[in-house]
Amino acid sequence: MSLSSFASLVAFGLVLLGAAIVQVGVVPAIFLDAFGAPVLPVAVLAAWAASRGVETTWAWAVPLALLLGSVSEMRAGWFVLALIPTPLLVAAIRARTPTIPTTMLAAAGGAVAYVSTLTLAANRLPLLSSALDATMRGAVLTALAGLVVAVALVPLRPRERGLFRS
Amino acid sequence: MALTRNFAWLTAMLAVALLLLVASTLPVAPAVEAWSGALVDGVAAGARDATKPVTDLLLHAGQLEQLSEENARLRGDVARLEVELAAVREQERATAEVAALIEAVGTRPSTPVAASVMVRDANRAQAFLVISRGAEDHIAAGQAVLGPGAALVGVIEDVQAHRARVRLLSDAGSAVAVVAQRARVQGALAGDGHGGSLHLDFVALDAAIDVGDLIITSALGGVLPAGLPIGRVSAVARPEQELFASIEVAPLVDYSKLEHVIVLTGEEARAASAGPTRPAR
Repeated sequence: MSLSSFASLVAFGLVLLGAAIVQVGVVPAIFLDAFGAPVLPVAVLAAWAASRGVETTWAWAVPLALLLGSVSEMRAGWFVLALIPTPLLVAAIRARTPTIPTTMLAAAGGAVAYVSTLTLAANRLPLLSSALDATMRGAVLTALAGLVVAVALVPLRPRERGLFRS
Repeated sequence: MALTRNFAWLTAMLAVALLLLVASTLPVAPAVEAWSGALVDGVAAGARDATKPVTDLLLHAGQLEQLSEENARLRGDVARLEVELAAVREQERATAEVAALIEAVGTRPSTPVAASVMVRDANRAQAFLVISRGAEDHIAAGQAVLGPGAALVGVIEDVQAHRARVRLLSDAGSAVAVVAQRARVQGALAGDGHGGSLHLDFVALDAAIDVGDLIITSALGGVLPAGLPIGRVSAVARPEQELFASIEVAPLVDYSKLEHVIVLTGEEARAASAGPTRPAR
């Protein structure tokens, strides 16, 4: 791994953990219905996985889950399980779809999977049906957040090296 | 090749998740969680405070007319409350005598402890708050947590040295014994799980309860002090085929905007002493 790749990976880690801090500290103050809020860490994970490759993304789910788990009644292991679908979705979609749509689809799907997993883990599945509209709204907002992050990541997208490559 | 590597990663992540779930049952887990939680809570609360001007702007943009109307209504409420206050002061003298009697028989009054809200639960299916006071400040599980206007907003769920978790009344797992102040109808108040209204359960179809009735805590549960305001009835439905009425209660306090709360310490001891006792043999 080159120095610039390593530096961008570390920068991504900081952005991801920053997104988690914003998620627990700031997002609840803006979105009054918890289910209707975007899941920013999922948006960042999806954007990075779609732009830079899924294999550089998986490991970040663990520190992210530890951080989110430390401010929740729910165990950190559940957060790992809740975050896994996001890179999994990117891996499934990415081969056939351009980066931006991949990010948005994976972010929306990842947000729904994240919320569903944690609601299931809290043994409150009936909540999901009563908050279906809000969950979908949260998924759309997560997709939009993913779009913003993916556009910001365009300059960092890996390109083939060589002077005269077409 | 990429498929194989991703499959290996997926397997590894599932293994890590299981490992973390198993590790969370170890005796050392609460201490690690308390340490890391204190660190993250502090940073998250700092982020919230730093962005407060922006979030306030986002929340209240375009609400000037609504805020003006609310301000006028509140001024009216203040005038009415001042009149009521004069009457209450008259009653105060009589109440003081009763309070002195209660004190004489040994019931400990509650001591209010102010705390700031540090962070909300990262799992949106659970309506919990983390507050900045803990066991060192005499906070204990079961104590009542009050918001603006001394309205009950939740109950202490568990406590660490310098912080505590509060289960809000809006949590799906919350259930509090309450009474409608005017009609004196008892019921159980439960949360809807996503910050909306509360549901008043186990109220008979023919109960004389109506929209606007104030809901307060009941002494029936034996855990919370009686008479704490919670909310007002916002909707009543009496479906003929049901045994109980379907009643929605709008909280007096917007739980999503809580920044500071009051914990009534001493209530846990009161609840313990109020429990069933065996006669000495």
